[in-house]
Amino acid sequence: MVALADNHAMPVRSAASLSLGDHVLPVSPELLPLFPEGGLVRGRTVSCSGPAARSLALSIVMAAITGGRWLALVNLDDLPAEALMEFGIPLHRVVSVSSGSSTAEVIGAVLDGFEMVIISSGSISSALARRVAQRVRSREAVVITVGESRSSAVSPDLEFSTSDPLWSGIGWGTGRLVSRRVRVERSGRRAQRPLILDLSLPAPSGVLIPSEEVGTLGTRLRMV
Amino acid sequence: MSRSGMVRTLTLSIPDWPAIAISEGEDPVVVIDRGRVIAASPAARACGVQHGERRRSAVRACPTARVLPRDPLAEVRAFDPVVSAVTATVSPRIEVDRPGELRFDMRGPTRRLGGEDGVIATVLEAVGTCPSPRAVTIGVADGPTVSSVAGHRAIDGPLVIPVGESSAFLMPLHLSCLYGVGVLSAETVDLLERLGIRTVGDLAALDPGVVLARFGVEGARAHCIATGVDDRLLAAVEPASLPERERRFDDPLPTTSPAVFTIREMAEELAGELSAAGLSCTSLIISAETDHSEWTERHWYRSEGFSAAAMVDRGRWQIDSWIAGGGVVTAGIVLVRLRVVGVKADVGRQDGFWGGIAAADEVAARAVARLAAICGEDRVRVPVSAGGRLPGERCAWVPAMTTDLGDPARSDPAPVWAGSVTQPAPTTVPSGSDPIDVFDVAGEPLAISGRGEVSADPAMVVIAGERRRVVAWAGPWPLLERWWDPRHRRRMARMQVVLEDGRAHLIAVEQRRWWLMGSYD
Repeated sequence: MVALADNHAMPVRSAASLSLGDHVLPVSPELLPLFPEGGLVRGRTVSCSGPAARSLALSIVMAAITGGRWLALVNLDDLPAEALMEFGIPLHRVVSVSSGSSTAEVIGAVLDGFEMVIISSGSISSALARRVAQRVRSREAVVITVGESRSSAVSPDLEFSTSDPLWSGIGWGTGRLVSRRVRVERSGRRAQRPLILDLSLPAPSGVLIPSEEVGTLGTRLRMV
Repeated sequence: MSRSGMVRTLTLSIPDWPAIAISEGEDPVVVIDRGRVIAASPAARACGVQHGERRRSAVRACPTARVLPRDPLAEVRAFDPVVSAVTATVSPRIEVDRPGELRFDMRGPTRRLGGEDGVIATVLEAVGTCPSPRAVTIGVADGPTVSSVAGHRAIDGPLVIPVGESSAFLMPLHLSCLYGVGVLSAETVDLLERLGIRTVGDLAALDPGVVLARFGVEGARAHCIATGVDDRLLAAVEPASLPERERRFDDPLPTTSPAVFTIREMAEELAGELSAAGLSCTSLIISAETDHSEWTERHWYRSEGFSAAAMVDRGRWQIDSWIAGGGVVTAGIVLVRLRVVGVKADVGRQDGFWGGIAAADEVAARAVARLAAICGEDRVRVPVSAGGRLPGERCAWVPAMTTDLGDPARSDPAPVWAGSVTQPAPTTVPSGSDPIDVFDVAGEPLAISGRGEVSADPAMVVIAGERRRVVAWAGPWPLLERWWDPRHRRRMARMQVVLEDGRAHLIAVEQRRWWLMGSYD
């Protein structure tokens, strides 16, 4: 069954790739292994969790925002703009909204106006998550949630969970934080196959993210 | 063009308005925009603070000054009493170029108030009744532009340029005076200067055809003004063919947001209509009326033209200051009207936003207005560059509706201040100061000495009740901010710690209390 489903998906993907620029938003080359379709497919939901959730989310959206898309941050008031800047995100296309009591309405309006949305997962209840997923599909935006999810009811299309952060540059009373090695595990409904990747996030020279595929969990199918 | 077409105009301006508007009392204030001084209060001026200099040298010249970012809303609010006073006593139809400067057609008031001296005296008296006495300058001349130039130079009392003598007045002045009133761009002034054309007289001496060929519409208009022809029309004349929009509401609008939302819709229609005709709006009248027939009307002017976003800015400033004015507005808004009264050929100097660069910009801008209407303007924010050494201070989040979204330069990265903790920046900066506990290897609270040394190696950090072992640490980095100011002085030390779960934090201690400054997640 699995093999059938995946084979069936192949021609659809190549047809979509004809209008790749429109249907798939770009990601930086270092992150490509994480995205089976070669980028962020519109209408999808992505979740980032674990100790490097925010850094990963910011590095994922960077290429699309640089390319002229707008980014909305929902309920991420404690995310400083200079962190966005360090991830290479042009600040003049970023808007931050704190939804107060009208979260559902705000998310609706945000999906109408922005192609890229990062939402704090703490602000989404199970009921809301279902509605968000529906709206995202019809609006052709990409929604990324950051933080530990409260709702298990709706699973995102792609789930990235970060773990085992290892900081370098800092010692025992010496140096300072310079770069971090972190393990990213990919799962989710559209992940095709689980994958583990080690990333430098941030890398010593800024935000460049050299990546290294560590292995897959139970390889089910290989493309020929 | 005949000289009879020119309108005798009075310009009143308040130098350094961005600083005056937000000063309280006599304390020196310096206002910084994009890293440069744009205004300074009289006390700061007395210390030698200059326009255009960098923050650091301004602080060196006047260490006691409060250095603040620009606050356009406060500028409009504070200017409102001046506008109201002049409207009530001299002329109902005044043109507000920007907060801190207004002008009107003098012909009517001159007849009514006993000559130009009478008008000037009435204006000064009216302004004198406004709170906090202000140094105003007054210039009178043929045409709005020349009167502005005169106004900017009228430091020792009103400057009246007799009828027909504009040219003689302008001749010896440096060309930068035309930059100050928005006729020439800084680049053109610079270019002309390098060509040896330094004064307005030098420009007037050139052949108008040559100027037009080399410098286009901008140069031709500057040449006209240099030769004493300044025929831009003021608000008094209303060409019939220019577009306007009006909305009436059956249910009075209780708050500002829906009115602004409506203004945005109308502004988009107007900007679209004008740009389709190859025009951009330079002069705009915004009016609103309440259910109790209270009325506000302002004339806004912007030499480089209004984008839709810039029109909305003006509308929001106006309605905000009207409603916040106190006591004037007693009912909801039932009518909003936008009237274009001045246009110029669109020569492609519009904001990127309407320049047709990206539809995404337009869609996002509309979504911002809608979001502001849903959850309140203060909750929809965009980054602008600021300055500081602590996490979150290098860029500030400000309400999106107070900025021109189409202007990418608003968030140009500010330089990194010496004394900041270096890159990477924390990705979470709590808004409050969450208290934490830090213990050394002996289990004692960790202390930092006056010389910036740790009492012992840190061993344990307790954040929100969770105890974790320290596996790596760096610092401490002491920071003494505003040491010259006993009220705002801060003395603290910062450290980076990596805990046993692999997470890294930036922690700080001030007056022996530790708090979580940021986390790297």
